[in-house]
Amino acid sequence: MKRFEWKKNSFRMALSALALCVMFGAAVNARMPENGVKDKPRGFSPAIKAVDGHAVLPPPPAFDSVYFMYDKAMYEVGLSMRNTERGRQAEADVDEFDMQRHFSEAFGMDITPEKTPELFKLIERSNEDIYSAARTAKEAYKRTRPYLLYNAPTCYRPDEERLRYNSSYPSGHSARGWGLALVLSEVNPARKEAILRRGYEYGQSRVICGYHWQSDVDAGRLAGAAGAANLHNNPEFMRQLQKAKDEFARLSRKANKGKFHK
Amino acid sequence: MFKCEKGRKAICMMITALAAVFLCTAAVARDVKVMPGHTAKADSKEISCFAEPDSDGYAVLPPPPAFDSVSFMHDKAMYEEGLSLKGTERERQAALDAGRYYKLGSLSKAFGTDITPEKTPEIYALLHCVGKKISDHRVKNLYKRARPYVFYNAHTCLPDAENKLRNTSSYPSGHSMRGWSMSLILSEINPARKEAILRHGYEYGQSRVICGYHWQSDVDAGRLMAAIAVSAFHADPGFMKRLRKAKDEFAELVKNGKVRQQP
Repeated sequence: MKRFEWKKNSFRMALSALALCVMFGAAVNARMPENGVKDKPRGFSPAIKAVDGHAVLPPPPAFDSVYFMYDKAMYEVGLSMRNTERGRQAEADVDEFDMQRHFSEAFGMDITPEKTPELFKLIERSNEDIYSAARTAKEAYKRTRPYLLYNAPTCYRPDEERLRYNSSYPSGHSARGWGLALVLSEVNPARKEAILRRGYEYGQSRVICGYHWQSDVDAGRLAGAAGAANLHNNPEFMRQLQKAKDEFARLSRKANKGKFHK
Repeated sequence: MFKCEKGRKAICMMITALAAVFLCTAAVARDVKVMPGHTAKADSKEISCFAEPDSDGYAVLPPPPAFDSVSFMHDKAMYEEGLSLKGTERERQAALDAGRYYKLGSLSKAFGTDITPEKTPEIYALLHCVGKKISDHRVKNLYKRARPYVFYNAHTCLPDAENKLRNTSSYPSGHSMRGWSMSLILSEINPARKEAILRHGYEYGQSRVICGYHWQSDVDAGRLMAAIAVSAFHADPGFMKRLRKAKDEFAELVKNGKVRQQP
């Protein structure tokens, strides 16, 4: 009997422990996703200070400058492309937290948490640190975006509200695209032409979409290069880069092996 | 000066003269040496460099603006803005930057410590190799764009180099490529001063527009190429070895208090 009670007790304890676990898990979960939005991505060790883009980049073009005329001409070139294949690509490029998918084709490999966990993580983290090189300049110049200046629709309307109060200069997407292309061509130099072209065009997509002026994109690429350079000073990044390179070498060997068997 | 003993006067004077000649050559050599980017003749020991990046990545560059484009209007407006700086300190800096060799004086200031073959042999060697292995000629040969001073039949801020560059392509700007790439690499070595370093590299490119040697779009393209080249360098073990040595040398300088951390 006593023995049985002990067993019952332990069973109860296990149950309550399980319940606790579930509750704790729920609490953690409740903290993470907020109305379906993904967990906020983070960069590498914050001990390495981000590039102060404001101190490096020139100011955006003045309203009465020829440079701004060029911006407006490029906006119109973009408008003329909206209903083309390139315009649809620009629309597909709007999510700046999905860089793994954007670069998969150019990189020549599906970049997913399952197939390429190290490379996936490298991109996820680098993406944030590269963007931070554009942050201070964005805060300093509260430049109006093309679609707001013209009060016109973009290629992807759901983002219009989200970006209404986010400065146009420099383009964060372009910094991410160019900076990541620079990092990824280090991992897979054999495909660097395709990778860099993708990174370059990722910035152009913002002009086509009406979210950015050409000069935002140009400055974004400078910030992206500076951000990518700064990553190399971060030991955590260097370790992750090496892991991604090793993973890539392993997967390439595997892929080549398959080819020989065929 | 030394006093030579009577009996050995001739030999002694010869030795003194030889010593003087040697000192002079050393001084001249020192002046010539502060110019990475190309192997100066005075370089006594050859610096072995890593490989030149292949030109694959450069295929990303867009072509230079068409003559009837707004981008070319912007180029022309920037040329005129450059002209407006005539006689200013900024123009004098542009003329200094226009030399064939990268003058390390102003870059050293941004970097926080002198970059010379004597004081920072590793950092100097790294920059020397970057300057040597970074090249624009393959892309330049694709587009035979006329330089601003040739287009306008005008003069630059440094007329000495006009004839030599007259028949070379304007697009992209090689100086801008060197300036931006060296500053990207130096910002990796001294991250505490990265903004000043990058700003210097940026302005080094602008100097070309101010001088009348390049259109703004040449300079913009040069900066893209610089980032591409630096990325390619990072995939090269030879470069990484040199970079490691340069970083170690710099850490030593910091430890000895030889680096100005404040601007």
